[in-house]
Amino acid sequence: MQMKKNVLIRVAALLLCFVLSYPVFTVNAESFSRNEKADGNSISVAARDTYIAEKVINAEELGLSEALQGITEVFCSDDGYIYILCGEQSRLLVLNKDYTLKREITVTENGEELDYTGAQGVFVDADSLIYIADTNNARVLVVSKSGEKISEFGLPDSPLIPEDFLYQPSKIIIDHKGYMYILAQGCYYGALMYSPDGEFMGFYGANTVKASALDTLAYLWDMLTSNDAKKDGSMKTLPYSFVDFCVDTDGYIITCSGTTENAVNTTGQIRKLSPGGINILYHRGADGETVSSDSFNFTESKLNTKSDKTELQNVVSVDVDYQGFIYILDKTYGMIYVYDSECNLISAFGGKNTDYTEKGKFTMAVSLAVNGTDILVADSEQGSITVFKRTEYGSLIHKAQTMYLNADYSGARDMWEQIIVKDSGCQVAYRGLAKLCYTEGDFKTSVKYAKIGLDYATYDLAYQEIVGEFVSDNFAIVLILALMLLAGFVALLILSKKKKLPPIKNRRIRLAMEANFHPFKSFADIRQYKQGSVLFATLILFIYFVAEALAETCCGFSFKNITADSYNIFYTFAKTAGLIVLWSIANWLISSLNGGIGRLKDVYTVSCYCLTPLIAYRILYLVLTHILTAESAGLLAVINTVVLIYAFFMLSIAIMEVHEYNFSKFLVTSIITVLSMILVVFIIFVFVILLQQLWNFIYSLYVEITYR
Amino acid sequence: MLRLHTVRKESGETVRKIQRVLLLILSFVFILSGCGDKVIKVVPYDDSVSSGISTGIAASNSYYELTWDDEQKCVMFTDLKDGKVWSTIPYEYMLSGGMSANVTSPINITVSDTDTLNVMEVRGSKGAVSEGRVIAEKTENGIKVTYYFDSQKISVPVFYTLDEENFLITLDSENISEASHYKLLSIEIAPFLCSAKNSDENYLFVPSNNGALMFTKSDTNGTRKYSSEVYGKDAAHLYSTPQNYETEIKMPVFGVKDGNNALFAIAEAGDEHITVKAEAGNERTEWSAVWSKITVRGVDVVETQLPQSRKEDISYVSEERINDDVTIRYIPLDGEDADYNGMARCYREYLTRNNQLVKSENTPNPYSITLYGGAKIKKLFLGVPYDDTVCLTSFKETEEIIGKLTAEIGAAPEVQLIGYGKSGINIGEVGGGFGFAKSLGGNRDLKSLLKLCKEKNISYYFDYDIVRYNNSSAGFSATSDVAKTASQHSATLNTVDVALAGFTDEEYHLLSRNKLFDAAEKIIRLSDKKDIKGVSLNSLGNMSYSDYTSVDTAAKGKLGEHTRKIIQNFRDNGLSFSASNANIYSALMADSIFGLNDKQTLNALNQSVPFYQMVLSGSKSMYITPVNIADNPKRHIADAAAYGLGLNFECIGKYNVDVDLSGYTFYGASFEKQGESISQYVKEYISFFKQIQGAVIEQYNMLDSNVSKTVYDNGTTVYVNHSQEETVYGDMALPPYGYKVMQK
Repeated sequence: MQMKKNVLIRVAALLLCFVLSYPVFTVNAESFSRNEKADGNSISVAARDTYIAEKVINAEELGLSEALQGITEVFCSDDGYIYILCGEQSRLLVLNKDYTLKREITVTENGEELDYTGAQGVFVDADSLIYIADTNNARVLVVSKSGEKISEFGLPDSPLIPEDFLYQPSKIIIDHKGYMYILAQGCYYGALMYSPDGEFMGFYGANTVKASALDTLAYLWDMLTSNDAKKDGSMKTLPYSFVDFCVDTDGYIITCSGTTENAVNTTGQIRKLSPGGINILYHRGADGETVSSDSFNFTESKLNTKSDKTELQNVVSVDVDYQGFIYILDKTYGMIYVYDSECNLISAFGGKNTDYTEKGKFTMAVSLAVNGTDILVADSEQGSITVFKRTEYGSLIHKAQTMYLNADYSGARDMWEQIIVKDSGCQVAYRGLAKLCYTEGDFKTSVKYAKIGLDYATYDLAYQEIVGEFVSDNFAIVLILALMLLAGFVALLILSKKKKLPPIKNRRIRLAMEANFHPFKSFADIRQYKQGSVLFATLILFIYFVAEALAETCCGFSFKNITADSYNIFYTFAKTAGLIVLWSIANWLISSLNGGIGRLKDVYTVSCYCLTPLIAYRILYLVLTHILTAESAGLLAVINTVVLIYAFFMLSIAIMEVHEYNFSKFLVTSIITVLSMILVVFIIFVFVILLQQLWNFIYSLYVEITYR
Repeated sequence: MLRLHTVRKESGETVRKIQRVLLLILSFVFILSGCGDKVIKVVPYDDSVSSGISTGIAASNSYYELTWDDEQKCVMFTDLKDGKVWSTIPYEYMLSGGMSANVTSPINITVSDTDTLNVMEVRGSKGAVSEGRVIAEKTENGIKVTYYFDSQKISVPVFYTLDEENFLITLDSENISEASHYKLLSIEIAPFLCSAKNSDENYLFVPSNNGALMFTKSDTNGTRKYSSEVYGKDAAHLYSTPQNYETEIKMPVFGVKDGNNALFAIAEAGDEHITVKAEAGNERTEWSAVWSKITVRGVDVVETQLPQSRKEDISYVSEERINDDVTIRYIPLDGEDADYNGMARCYREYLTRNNQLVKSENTPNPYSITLYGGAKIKKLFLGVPYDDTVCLTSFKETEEIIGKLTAEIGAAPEVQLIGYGKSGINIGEVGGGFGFAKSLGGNRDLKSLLKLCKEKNISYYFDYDIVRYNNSSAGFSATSDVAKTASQHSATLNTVDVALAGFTDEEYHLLSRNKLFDAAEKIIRLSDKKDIKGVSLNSLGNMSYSDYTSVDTAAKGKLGEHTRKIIQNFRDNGLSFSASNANIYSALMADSIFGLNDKQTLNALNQSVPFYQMVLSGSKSMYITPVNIADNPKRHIADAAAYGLGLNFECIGKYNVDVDLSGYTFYGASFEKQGESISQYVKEYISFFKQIQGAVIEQYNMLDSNVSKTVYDNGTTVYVNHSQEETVYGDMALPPYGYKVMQK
């Protein structure tokens, strides 16, 4: 199921570009959100603004004579003051809550001004002590409110520090218990952790190297075949160092890891670390299942671009508000993403300045800070801080989602209803309403909302209740119907045993049908009397293909994992008809070399005849998925396994009979057949890739000629 | 011998036959080559001319003197009334001995080196004045100045002419000479004519969106720069990165306020070729200026494969150069007129005088509604995917919505119907296939809707997209009827995705400009057949594009003329016409204009002014962008009140989750959920609107950062508080987003 889902996800990803391309006519929204789809993919949809760029603070706005150059961090202290660190100028500004200038701090030591040019981070603790990560001078300055240097933290003298460690502190945080964490540039060991007494305690929360099975095999191979020359030429795979962090209200540390892969935006940009340094952040999917944030992509899964100049998204800053909402900043595209504590995207907005600077867009966004309900984003190139104010809609959705996550479903009712009035396409609102209706016992409405919101978990719960209610209300009728169905089935069996059912006159068709019940006899007859019908076999194959397509596209809501735009009927055709044809040819070729006497026509015919149990199952599946809940998927899986085993059993007998093989010979030829099928598929792939390359070459030649 | 002779004779005849055939083919090719468009005159580059008229008054009338300064190579217009001098080099700057190459440059050009494909800018102060030649000749009412860029072997003739109280600068495109491997791309003439010294009072006026001001004072933000193509970016140019084709400049005007004087510029010919550029607060030169850049050739920027798998953006320049003259009319203003209000008045009078601004027959309506018909989504039939246009608002629902609003409010709305064609709101067939989506209902439903509109005297407009399409149908080919780009490729563009604004794989084409007329004819036939009385062409009205199949339509040429012809054809066939966020040529011919907003996001702009509304007020019904989907509807209504606009609401009949999951957003647009609040908003606004209905905005001023004052010609003055806090101005208290009306 998971594999199938993965394949579908890939197919869907290829087709997602089509979906994304729909023009949005109604709004000129620059904000967007993500709606999950039945195929497990998500789609970016224009959404109502949750934040709007209200103000741009620059030197002019603050009444300063000198422009703010090279802002490296903006930080909001607990007491509501905003600290702007201009690393390039060795300047630190403090703003009031209303974004007016409070003062510019001159850092001094014994009355002499200290230079901290290149400083990357600033933090202010509960006692208003200011910590400046003086990156170039490899120290963290601790400064009083007035700017007097109190102390400094250099590279700790500890055996835990590697010899080649380059200490360039870039960010500082202090958690609720007074532990200080210093992040050093390019350090993949994690953050340097200091006790409240200022004692270095070691490294904390390093990222881990993501390794696939192939990587592990490659590593083992290298271990076995290693030599000095190879060692010199090899590159060490290191974990991605995190580039920013913050502390949430519960004292957990949330980190962000910039660019995590070299190919496309991948996963795990944001992590929430337990005291033991383990990532405890998760994303809850539509099916109610949770996955670690290590496997969740916080940025875009596809970078739409015509050229090779694709720049990867780079999450450089992270902050969290008192409700647990996580705010992240992508430096490459100037995008701000707002996630709830379960990694559901609430809104994304911002953008990159192109020819001219625009309010709400950035040339070089470097730092983000949350100030109450405002978001502040620093642009180092423009020397400005943009203040994003939460809109009325934004407040509604934040409040409602917080209540939803705290299981206060009924409290959020009005808000969800208002949200739907304002944005009919808000998926989280439908999920909230679905849950609310479920808790209130209005299961039918819950099912309706869950369907719109693609909330499989709530849908199942509500649907179970509806089915339960229906059965208990109509128990007698249901029981009678079930008994009648059973009786009918038994009668059919008895009649067929006694051969009292009207006989199928066409002997070929009769043999094909009988093969389901008497495979040995039927397949032997088919071979002996040459009674196989290619036409009828093809009809069965076609029905199987249709049944498979219907089962995938018309099954019940809980079982459907495709969408119209992601569904590829050629894939279904390939895995049904294509597979049988390939099997037949490969088996015939292999068997011909191994003394098999069956003709291609025979192999094809009997293989198709073996599909009838699968057809029956797919029809049953189609019906049952509209009745059963997802919880009953296990039952369907059992039936599926039984049917598959029976079909395989039939196929074994069919091939043995057709080729007059014993079981061992059948087994050997079948294995070789499967291997040759893989080889054929491989060759087809290689051929397609070559054709593609040829086409690309011809096309680039054509482009070159037409433009010259 | 006889046989030999016969053979020779036969072979001679064959040769002659071949010769005849070749001659025929050649003549045919020759004839065909003459069937094309106008051939651009090749003007030889004159190396010999070295002197022209000397310094002195070259022309004058009772208002102005035109002086040529041969030393500075500068043209000056002196106002005889107050002595104010408008000069190609700012007069004050010239007197102060300023030497900035930027300020003293009478002309700048951008050229492409056809050998290297590099694009470079050449400043006239160097290329023509110091390293080339600038020759002035006397003409009837002024002078002709030819700027010779000797290094590039390019000469540009420009006419400076007095015309009563105005003066004109005309680029003589046809007589531009290009005699080397440099191709001319664009020209900036007199970039500092419309300029002012940096100060707290002076400002530049740029027509960004409705209009905006750039204050000239210097600050720590450095020089603020602005540049935007008139009528929007050319959609038929190829770019390697996504562009925003949304119209930013709807009017071909700009201006400067300099103390008690102002200079207002109107591009009256070749306006489509113009880009308005401005620079404010330059600390080094201490001067700010607004000027026009004339695009004479189109450029396609294409990512091209280079050796060693490298790719690079390369600019491909069109062969043809525009051949129509570009004229900018400069109108000096003084006294009370010397501000943007005066400029708006001046432009309104100019348009009226030229019979371009005609009062619409419709009385401005306090509200309108925009309804969306259908949307195309993918569906499956037995696993086979197919496109289906699903209904968002059927004809029946449309009728119900209009009926309900009319009954509840007591006044009928104007109605804009978008996406009722076969492709719904998607880019699909040209003009939506010139039919209606079946899912919206049958003919009977449509008739019933039209009957209601007729009975209640409701103006309605069915919108057609005749510019963008993505498949061959309705008589238009997706290969041969596509407009051509500068590099003679089909104008096929990619849509842009909502997330990172990157290109998607979905392509669409731009219809060839000469085919627009055929498409319009089809709309007329359909309207006639269905008895439809109103249409709109939103895409044609608010986006601009070139078609390099003809030199006439290069660099967006003749866009206004073509659109006007099409609209006139509609009018001649009894159809009323509406436009949305429309360029001025479309807006002037429309009965109603929808989708006007106050969006001004560029940091370079300091203040938004409703210049567009001031020009068109009293003549057209105008509506703000939809209130019901705005972030803050109250603020939106306050803006509408300040700009004298009617309200607009956007709705659909029923919400369809499949449509939403396909990437559309109709948020907040379900009429079922919004109907009540719409009625409420309109009922509150209607009494206010009646007091300004049909009146012309005389003045608009920001009294402080939050309160605006709009004065109408009927004696009504409207004060609007644009903030969320209660504001007291003078003795008047204005509630948050509130407005007050004072009668004279």
